[in-house]
Amino acid sequence: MTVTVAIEIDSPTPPFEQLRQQLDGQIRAGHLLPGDRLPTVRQLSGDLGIAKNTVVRAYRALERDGLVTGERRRGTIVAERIPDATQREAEITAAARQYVRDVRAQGGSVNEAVAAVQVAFNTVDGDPA
Amino acid sequence: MVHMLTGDWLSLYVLWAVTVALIVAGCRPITDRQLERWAVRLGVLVKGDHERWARAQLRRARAIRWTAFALGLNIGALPMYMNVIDVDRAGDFANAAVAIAPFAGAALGSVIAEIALFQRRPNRRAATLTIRHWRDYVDRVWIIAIAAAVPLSAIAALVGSARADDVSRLVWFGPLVCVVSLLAVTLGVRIVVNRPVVVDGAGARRIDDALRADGAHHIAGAAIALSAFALTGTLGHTLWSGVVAIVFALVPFLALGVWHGLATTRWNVDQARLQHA
Repeated sequence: MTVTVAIEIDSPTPPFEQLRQQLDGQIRAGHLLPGDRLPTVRQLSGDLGIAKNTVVRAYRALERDGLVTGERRRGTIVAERIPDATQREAEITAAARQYVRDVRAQGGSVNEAVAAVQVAFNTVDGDPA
Repeated sequence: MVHMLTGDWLSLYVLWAVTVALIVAGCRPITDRQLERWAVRLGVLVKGDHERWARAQLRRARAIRWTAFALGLNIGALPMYMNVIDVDRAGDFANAAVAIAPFAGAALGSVIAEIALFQRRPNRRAATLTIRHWRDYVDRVWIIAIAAAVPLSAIAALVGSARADDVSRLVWFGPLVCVVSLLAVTLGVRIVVNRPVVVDGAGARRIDDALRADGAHHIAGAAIALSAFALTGTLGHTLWSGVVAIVFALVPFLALGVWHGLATTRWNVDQARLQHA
């Protein structure tokens, strides 16, 4: 299967983030396998008509996320061990279940629970807004 | 008026007729049959919206290649021109550099054809994550052959320059042309690989790959002809003796055959990619 990425120039999302998200998705979906080489910065930037730095930035972000490794001689390669997204999702689900149990014990509704979560996300230190 | 019907002028008329025929034939539209044969040769399906685009690209590339070859032919015919301008100086232009001009023109034209391909970038910019490699587009045997001509011609030139006669200065022209040929193929193939893919969709990308393979084969073919001509010229000077020289003199014609064969050879980019994946 030929894996493709596309950049929408009119999109409010910056090209670097569009590229990062798509590559992240392709790797996590298994369309790109461990050990697969990604195109060179020159090739991908040329094909997409974007600056080389934009591709470099996306590759670096993926490297920070542990999805790819940069090797001097071989280029950018999909990492052998992909950080387990399902494990993270499972932990979030477990925390949510516990929260729902606590809300029910207090006699709270779904709407109250969701509203409380939104408030908490906006106020608790260290959490992304 | 009568003096324009001499043998020298008639030779020029033939040359001009060939030049015009080459340029006109190169600029003619790509026929259905030519497109079909091209598609079969490179294993692609050219249909619908892509057909017009493929025809335009093929026509442009062919026009540039054939025009460059025709100009090279005219440069190569400088002694013929001098025969009608100043016959005493015609001999000054009958040298290896002039003789090689048609092949050099073809090689240069093939490289320019790859640079000049027209591409319009759409608003939605898509790219495959398939890595392009020069071996996807041309057999490495030909590139190795072109590279091998450089040391071979250098050795022949060394041997030839050791001979104490008037050809010793000319033999170094062969290695120089072989280097130029290698540079042309290296640059040309780099352009083929690095040219951005600006088309979207699997079918269009296959056609784009086929155009690249076609261009790479034309460059390699012209470079092979150029190297063979230069190498055999050097060997001819070095081994200038009877039968050997005659055999070497025939090699450029063989190179022309190889050039044509390469430019019309079957090639499938997907299969080549799989082989060295």
